[in-house]
Amino acid sequence: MEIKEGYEQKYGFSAPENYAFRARKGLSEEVVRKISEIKDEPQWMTDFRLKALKIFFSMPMPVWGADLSAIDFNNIFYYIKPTEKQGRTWDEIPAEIKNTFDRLGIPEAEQKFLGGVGAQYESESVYHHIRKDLEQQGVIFLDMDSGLREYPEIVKKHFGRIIPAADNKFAALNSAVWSGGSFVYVPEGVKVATPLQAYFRINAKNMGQFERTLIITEPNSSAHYTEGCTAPSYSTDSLHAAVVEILAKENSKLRYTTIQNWSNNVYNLVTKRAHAHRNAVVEWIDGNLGSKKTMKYPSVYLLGEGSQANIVSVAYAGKGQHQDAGGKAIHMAKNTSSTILSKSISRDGGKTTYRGLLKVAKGATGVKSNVRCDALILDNTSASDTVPYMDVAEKNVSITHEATVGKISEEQLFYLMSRGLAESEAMGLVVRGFIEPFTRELPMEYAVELNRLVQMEMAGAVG
Amino acid sequence: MPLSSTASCKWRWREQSGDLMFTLEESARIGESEPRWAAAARKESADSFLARALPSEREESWRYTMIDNFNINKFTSSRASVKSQSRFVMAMEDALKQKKELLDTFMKEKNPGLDKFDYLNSAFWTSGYFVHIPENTDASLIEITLQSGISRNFIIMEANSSAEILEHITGGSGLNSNFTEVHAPKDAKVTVHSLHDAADDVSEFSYKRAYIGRNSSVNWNVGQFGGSLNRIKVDNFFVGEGAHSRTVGVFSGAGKQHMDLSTNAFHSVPNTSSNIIVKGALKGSASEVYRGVIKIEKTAPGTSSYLSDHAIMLGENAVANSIPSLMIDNSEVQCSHSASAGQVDEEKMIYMMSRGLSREQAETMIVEGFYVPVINAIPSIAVREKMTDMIRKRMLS
Repeated sequence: MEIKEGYEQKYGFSAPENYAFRARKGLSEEVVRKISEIKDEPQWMTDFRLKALKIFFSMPMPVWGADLSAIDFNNIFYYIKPTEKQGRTWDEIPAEIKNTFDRLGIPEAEQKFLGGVGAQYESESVYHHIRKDLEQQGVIFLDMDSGLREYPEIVKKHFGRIIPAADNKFAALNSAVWSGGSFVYVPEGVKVATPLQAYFRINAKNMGQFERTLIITEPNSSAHYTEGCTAPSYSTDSLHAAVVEILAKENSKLRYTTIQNWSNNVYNLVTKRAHAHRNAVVEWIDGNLGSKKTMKYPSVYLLGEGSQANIVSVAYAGKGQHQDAGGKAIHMAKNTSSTILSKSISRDGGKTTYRGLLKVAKGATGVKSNVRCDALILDNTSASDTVPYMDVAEKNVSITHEATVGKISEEQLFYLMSRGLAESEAMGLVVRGFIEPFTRELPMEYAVELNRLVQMEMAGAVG
Repeated sequence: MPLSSTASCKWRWREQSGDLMFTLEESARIGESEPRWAAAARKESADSFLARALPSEREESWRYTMIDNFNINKFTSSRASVKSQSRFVMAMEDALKQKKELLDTFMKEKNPGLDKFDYLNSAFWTSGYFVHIPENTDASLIEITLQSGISRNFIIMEANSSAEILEHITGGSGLNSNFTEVHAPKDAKVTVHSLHDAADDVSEFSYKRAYIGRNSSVNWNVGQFGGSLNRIKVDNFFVGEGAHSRTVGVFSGAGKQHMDLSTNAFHSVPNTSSNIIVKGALKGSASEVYRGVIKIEKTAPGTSSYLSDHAIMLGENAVANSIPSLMIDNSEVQCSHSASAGQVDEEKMIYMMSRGLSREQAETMIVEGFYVPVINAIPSIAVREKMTDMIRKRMLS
């Protein structure tokens, strides 16, 4: 079984590590001060980082979720600056790095269907570009560091407000050493029809990537933000701990799509949260295929009347992987609605966990929510847990939840094979059908890519 | 898992008293009349009880039942007592003397999951019932009235036996704990109807546990009604191939009652099946937490295990929490759960009111209808009527 063979060729390659600056391995106040100094940050941000570092050191490791005991915080690079300056065109960035993104197909995708692209390599964004017409409408799409420099008031007002540093240990870590990520601002009434995409690439061994994203959609605006991420396969572990904060104002709509495809040596511990105001719609389309361990529960706080949350996720866990993922909808206002749909697949010793929360606060009348989790276990060495929490403090609500766990039915396989498909093809087809509710939410190019990825993962599923 | 930081139950401790105190001396005094082995086991439990800290709210199984500000020294309990006409029923204190060989192994059973309240039961139980159904015997319905207190109850089903047992738990005062354990090693079938209807001021921490062996089935119908706090844990261990259980939990909370029900289905051998159905309604400021775990080990292919829980919210300040978890380590299984929470369907109400019923009548009728599928599945007409009466009484209170 050569499951990751495809990954090796397409994503698992690495480039030489010629960097402009690399902080010493390990985490200390000195490292945090150095990051802030290199970035020439305002004092408040330096203070924010240092305070967060204290919080990180003081908080215990989570006692639930994936097993994180093997993370060695002293054996990680917390900051690597790959180049001296960011490029506005692909030709402006060093050939080695450009070559990496070429192989990943990013410039090509930008040409075809994206409204803007940000490419992060290690700790810093090496390329950022937004289409002229969007820029003229006042849409801001920058890396977070540039956002802080160019729009200090907006950033200061919102940074760390939706996810404070003390939210959890890894949010504290991100707050202390964050670098890169996206700053997106969509002005009132502007509808961005084509996706804005960020791509995160880890190249170095023992890398820690801590991007920080803040997205603000003003009233009556809409946007679709997508992110992808890959890394070379190494025998030593890397750490990715991102924080994503979204503020969706009245009547705005934001869709956030992730195809997480880290190599199987990356710990992926991410905090993502959105505030949805009156009639706003926030959607998390969350695909987790890669990584060694993932802990990620994108959440929506429904703060304004009529706001809506849709969370659609798919998780795949193969050999050595544990995907501990899910979603949270916290209903704080009247007539808000949410749907959470989770599909997970485990095989070859992998484990998937759906973990979620559906909360209805007192006074949030007229809430409607539906949570559905389906798990497929493809063989007898794999496992799946489902842990949904429902916490309802209001009577005038309609809440439903369903979950199923099982394997691919012999009948389905038999039927497909009787039509001439090989067993592995038949399995691939059933799995693609199983995750179709997720795939159909993706832009067409992504859906094709995802199906290909699943095919890649499924190669050798029978044998 | 710290997904939510606020426990949302509204119930508060009431420091009520009976005449049984939770001290080492009291435990020893109860043990005085017991055989030496039983007294020794009691002493061990008393030591564990005193040595153990109270579970903290940070512990998963106590997250929604607040026990801070709680001083166990201020509590006492009433004394349990048992009444039954059946020839199969013996008082537990007598069974200790006469059924040593049967009880010895069971009483000493170590269970790592036990907390302070479980040890409290083992250290301070004063009475209970012992049911032993011999081989090839159909005992039909056995009715037992249990005066709530600290009680220890055993049901042992020999091969090819069957029985239906109604334990009706009433009265009591202070802090109570009723522990019922079922052993059905082989080809036995038993249904235990358990009506928890203790007095209004009782804080109850009860435990039910079944070891279900080869081709046996142990069914529970648990009615959770009485007390100011009513916490019941039901553990089903599927330990023999072909073991089966159908567990029904029915709760009805009103006023400021806090209900806490958990069910655990542990499947560790091939081809066992479980179906758990929990239904309840909450009036006033009643709060409820239901925690359901299905755990299927790698060694248990061919398991089918289902869980569903549904709450109707009737009270303006009612709170319902539901945490149905599936822990599946085997692909050769069928497993699902479903849950819902909501209010009485307004359209149904309007329809019934248009037929001349008052709002209250319509509501009561719809709620009764909600319970019908689980009530009707109870074989004994007597038990069905009792359960329906209890729900009606609670709904109208």
